[in-house]
Amino acid sequence: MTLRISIAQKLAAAFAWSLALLIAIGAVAYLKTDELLDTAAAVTRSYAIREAAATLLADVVNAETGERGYLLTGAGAYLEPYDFALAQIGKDFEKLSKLDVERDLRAAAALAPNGPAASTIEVLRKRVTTRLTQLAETIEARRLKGLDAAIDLILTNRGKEANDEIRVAVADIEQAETRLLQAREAAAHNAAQLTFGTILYGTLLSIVLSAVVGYRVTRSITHPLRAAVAALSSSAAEMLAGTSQQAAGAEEQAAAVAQTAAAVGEIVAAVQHAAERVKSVAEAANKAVVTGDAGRRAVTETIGVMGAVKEQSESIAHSILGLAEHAEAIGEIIAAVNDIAEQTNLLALNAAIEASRAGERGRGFSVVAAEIKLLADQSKRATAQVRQILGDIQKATNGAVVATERGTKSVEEAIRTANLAGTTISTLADTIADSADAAVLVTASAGQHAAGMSQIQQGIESISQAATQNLAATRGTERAAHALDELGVRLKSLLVGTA
Amino acid sequence: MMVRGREDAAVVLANRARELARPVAAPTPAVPMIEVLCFSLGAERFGLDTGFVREIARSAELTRVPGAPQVIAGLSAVRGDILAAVDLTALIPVPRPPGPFSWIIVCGTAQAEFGLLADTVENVATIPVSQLLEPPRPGGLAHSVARDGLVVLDAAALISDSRLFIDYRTP
Repeated sequence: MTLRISIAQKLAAAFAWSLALLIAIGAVAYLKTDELLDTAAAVTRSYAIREAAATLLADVVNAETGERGYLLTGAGAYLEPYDFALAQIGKDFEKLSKLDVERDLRAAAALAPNGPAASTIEVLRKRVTTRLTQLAETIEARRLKGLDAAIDLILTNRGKEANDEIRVAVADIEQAETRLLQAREAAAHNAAQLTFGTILYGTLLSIVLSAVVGYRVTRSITHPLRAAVAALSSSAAEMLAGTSQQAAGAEEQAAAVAQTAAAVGEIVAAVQHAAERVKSVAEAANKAVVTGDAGRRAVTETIGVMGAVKEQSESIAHSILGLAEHAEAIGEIIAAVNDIAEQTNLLALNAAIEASRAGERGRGFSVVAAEIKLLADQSKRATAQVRQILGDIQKATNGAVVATERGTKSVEEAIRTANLAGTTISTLADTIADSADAAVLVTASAGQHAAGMSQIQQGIESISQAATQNLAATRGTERAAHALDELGVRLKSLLVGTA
Repeated sequence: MMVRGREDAAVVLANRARELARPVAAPTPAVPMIEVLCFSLGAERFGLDTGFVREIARSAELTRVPGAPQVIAGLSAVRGDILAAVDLTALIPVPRPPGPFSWIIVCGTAQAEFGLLADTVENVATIPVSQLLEPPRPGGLAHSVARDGLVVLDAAALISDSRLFIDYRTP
């Protein structure tokens, strides 16, 4: 059984099957019961016919009795049963014809085709009519002719023959009816048996088949249903988990968006702060520019002064150079004088030697030699002193030169530093001017930023709203998933049955 | 004494003139003395009898003589005379750093014989003979030693030392 057939169809099929079986059993039962009812009706009719026939016979007998009574008494009162019977006999025949005896007779004849031909109602009617006629004749005879005439009529035994014929006809009818009754009883029994069997086996079969079909249909329905419910349950659980996650994520998102909104608010405030600060920066820059100009002027002055100092130092250096040259000249002179002293010394020595070689005569000369030596020594000492002084002067001039050089170098360095300061101040002034311009630009762009930031803020607010809505929707989905989950559980319980 | 100007110079010279003009006093009774020229070679101080010294001059560049003994350091020109320059350190071992000599003492009696190289020339000193001591190795060039360590050279021995002369005649 494929799943293409819907559950309704399957149920319909199962029920149709059961219904079919039921209808079949019912039909059979109905038919057979109908048959039985027919049979019962026929039996009743047969009994009625028999009764009617017996009544007819009884009425004929009553008529005869009345006739006999009248015959005997001649009193009209004793014709009462006869009259009554006459009326009744007509009614009986009506009843018989109403009961359709002919049909039964035909049926009975069919049942026993080899039997003697049964009498019909007409035959009976004729015979009864004959007998009544006879009775009427007899009565008339009695009435008109008297008792003897009547007795004569009776003695003809036509009455007895007529009665016998009537009895035979009635017996035929009764026999026929009895046969019919038997047949009908047998048929009814068979029918009842059949009905029982049909009902019993049909019920059993229908029970079994219904059980089987019901089981299979149930299984074919519940299995996919169970699977579907399980899938539904699992996907509901997944959806629930997913929506829970989504809800958590949406919460986080909402929180993050709130944080972002707060941060953007802070940024907006900070931007405004920055704009204010930038304005103050621009003012400060202007002041700094003014200060820078003053600084540059001061630097220029300093450089001028330094230049003057340098010129002075250079002139000092010139003077010192002159001094040094003079000192050099003095040194040369001293060297010459020293040479002279040396030569004088040499001379003195040689003079001493000559004096010594000359012996006695050279004594006067030895004094001269000694004086010359003294002179030489003096000169030496003097030159030594002068040299010392010269050395001092040279040291002093060297010191002055070194100091002047140092001073010049310092002045140069100072000039360099002043220039550097000047360039630095210029650069600073330019930078400050640039920064002032930039500050103006920044102020302008800060205004733009503020506008942009407020837009961003709005955007973030709308995002926040959307996030909140998303959260609400997710919560709704979560609830739906919950409901779905519960539905799945309920379905499962429906399938399985509450434990 | 510093020269302090012309007036002072004139004063000094006048004083000197007066000194010179003083008559010479009688000589004191003669104590035997020698007059030596004090000079030094390295760390040692030597003395040479002034009788044998003709003059002193600054030592100029010596012209080296190849093949000459070490005593003769070279040839030197003094006042037109070509003299042999004698390095005494070759004869008398004296601790002296190597280098040129500053002075040359022209030795000789009647004529200049040779030049004696010296580092410094001090003065002409008069030493009493009684203050001279025997040299440590007598018989050498050292005549005697003064109390202050001055080694008085034997001039005669020095002059006649054959080592100091180059005989160009001998082949």
